[in-house]
Amino acid sequence: MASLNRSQFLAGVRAELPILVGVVPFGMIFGAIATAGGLTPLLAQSMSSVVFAGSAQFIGAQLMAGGAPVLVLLATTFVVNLRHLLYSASLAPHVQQLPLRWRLLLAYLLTDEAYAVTIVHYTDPHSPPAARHWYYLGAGLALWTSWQISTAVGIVFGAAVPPGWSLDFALALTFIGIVVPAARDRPHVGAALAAGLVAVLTFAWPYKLGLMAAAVTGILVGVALESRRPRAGRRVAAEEAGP
Amino acid sequence: MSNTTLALTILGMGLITFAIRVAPFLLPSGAQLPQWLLRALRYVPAAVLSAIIAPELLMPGGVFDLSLGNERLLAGVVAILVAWRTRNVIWTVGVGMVVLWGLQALGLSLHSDPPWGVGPFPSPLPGRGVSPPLEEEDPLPSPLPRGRDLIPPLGGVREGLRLLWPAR
Repeated sequence: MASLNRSQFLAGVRAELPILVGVVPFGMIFGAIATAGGLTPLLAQSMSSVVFAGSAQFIGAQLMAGGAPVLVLLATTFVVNLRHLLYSASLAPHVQQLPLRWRLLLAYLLTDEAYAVTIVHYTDPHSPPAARHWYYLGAGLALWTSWQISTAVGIVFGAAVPPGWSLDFALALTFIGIVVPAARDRPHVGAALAAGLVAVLTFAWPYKLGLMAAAVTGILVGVALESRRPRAGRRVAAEEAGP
Repeated sequence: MSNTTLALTILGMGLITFAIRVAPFLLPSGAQLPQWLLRALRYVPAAVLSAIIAPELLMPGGVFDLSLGNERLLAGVVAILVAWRTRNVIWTVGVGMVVLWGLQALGLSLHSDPPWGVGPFPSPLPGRGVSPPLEEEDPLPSPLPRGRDLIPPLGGVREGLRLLWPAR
């Protein structure tokens, strides 16, 4: 059993490795930008370990550098990280039986990147049900460790990375890699387009409040499109039945 | 803000994030979040992440730029195609960065020796008239050079388009 747990843990680490290629530059950029924006190295590093949510940290550091009120920072964190509620809700049936300390630990390690590989594993009928949480732990810890180290590297060497490398663009590309494959129906595409459009239109709003407006608009558009149209399955059935 | 305030703010951000992540794990076994909430939550990743992506592509440096001179927009469109085709984050990031670096190198060499004297690309998106902003968010490859020139086995795109726009 112990060896199964260990092999599952290592399998989780391995599954996470390719994703780290996009995460490590992002962590370094975060360390560099956070300290350049006036955070002390200790605060920048504790943001990576306490918050442990890349996009929220990135936006939070920018807001702090811009002197945004605390309430705006907390509200933005909530909106940007609200998507994790979806992830944890979808993983919950698989982990609800685990001891509390496991659930707390796994919740802390829940990120876009860990979720992406873990949910695939949980829904794979060939993976061993009794040891799947070890796989989750492996994926989560691999990401956590590289996030902490890359933040530290960014804090120390951040100023040495030439801006011409445009490594900050890796963040947008990582999100494209997450959003596009998931946007397979009209409501999702509508939600993405509406949110993107509003984000551009409201870009000049102070404290990135436009981000919240964009997110809320996108969610509403997605829900509205979904309720306006019949379910995909029924629609296909209706088309097959002919006019 | 003082460092103490910043530290407390970071702690608050961490608590909010953790609360979001842990809440469903603490529900009794078999319990679920209400359906209406789950339904709305399904659109959160697409909405929030697109709201972060769109200005990165369309407003590099904070200035709206819908032109072929916008290297991040072009690299982003290519990345969207790669993500669409491969469903793989690492390919998306890798190809996107290489395209960006290539365009930047190209832009530098063109800028240093401008063939027309008006910059590398005389007119933005020739022949397309007023494109709606956010074209780059749309997985349709219309404003780009043909997708099949960029990524050889592109047969899946047609199926993808049928999924997306079944009415056409």
